[in-house]
Amino acid sequence: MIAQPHASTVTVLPEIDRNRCNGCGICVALCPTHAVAVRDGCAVIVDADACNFCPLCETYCPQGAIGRPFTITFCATEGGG
Amino acid sequence: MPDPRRSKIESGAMTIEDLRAIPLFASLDETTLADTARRVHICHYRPGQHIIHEDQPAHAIFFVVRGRVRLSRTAPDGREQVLAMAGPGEYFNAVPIFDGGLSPATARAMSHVTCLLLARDDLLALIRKHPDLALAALSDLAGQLRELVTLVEDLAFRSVRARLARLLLAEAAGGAAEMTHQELAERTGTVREIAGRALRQMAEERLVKLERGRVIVLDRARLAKVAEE
Repeated sequence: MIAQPHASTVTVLPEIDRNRCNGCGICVALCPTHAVAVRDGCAVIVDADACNFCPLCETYCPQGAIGRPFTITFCATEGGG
Repeated sequence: MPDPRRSKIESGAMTIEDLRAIPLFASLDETTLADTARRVHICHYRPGQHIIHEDQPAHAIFFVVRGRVRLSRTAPDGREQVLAMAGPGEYFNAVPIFDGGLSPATARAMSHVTCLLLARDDLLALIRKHPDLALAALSDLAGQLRELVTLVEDLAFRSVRARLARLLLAEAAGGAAEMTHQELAERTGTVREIAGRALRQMAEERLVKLERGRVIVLDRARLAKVAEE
């Protein structure tokens, strides 16, 4: 039986909109950990473990095709109301 | 109307109970619901897929059954302003139903979305038979107008920081919807760099904590004060 990973342990990765990406490769040139590459004319995350979730690819993508997704939650121990 | 080549459309698969779950239809009798069920089409959309383009004809109303739909307006330079989000039970594109004009907003699926589509003529025929439906629709439209007035007030009189604080509180309260910095900017009426800077400043002030894939609201009360600045 294969254990399902707990939600909190799943690595969040940048999302690449294939409709917007034109494969220019700026993200590949900027990525400090070589986590992204262009395959078949579109950027893809090729090394998920290497991605350190820095903002470079998202910030400099000229097509606005890369986004670093996040959820917004209240702190579990926060007492405000 | 959605392009059938791009969205998966089914017909006649709705049950009366499915329709009754939509607040606008809740008061209709069984015969009318059965008649309506025969007229609606079920449409499925992928995340990111456009449902309606602004300033294009789309003479149908869309009821959200599943997922989240983002309604926005685009500036000539490409910037987008989010006008509203529609979730299950809510509807969009009502304006062209009543004035016969073009769609005022672009609708895009933010997740896997299922909508019921009812053609303008079918909805108007339904309203003629059931005037209570018109009153319910007016009440909903009044609510949407109030939300738009609040949005105009926010954009005109409040800072990006205050708008961001309000959005963070609303999203955290509404459940963990996924977002990006671009989305954050479009929801707060600014550009990504400014929204990002405002968020980082909030993190420095310990109002929020930024983690990989998460923005955690640390101090709800202080953030609520910022929202009123």
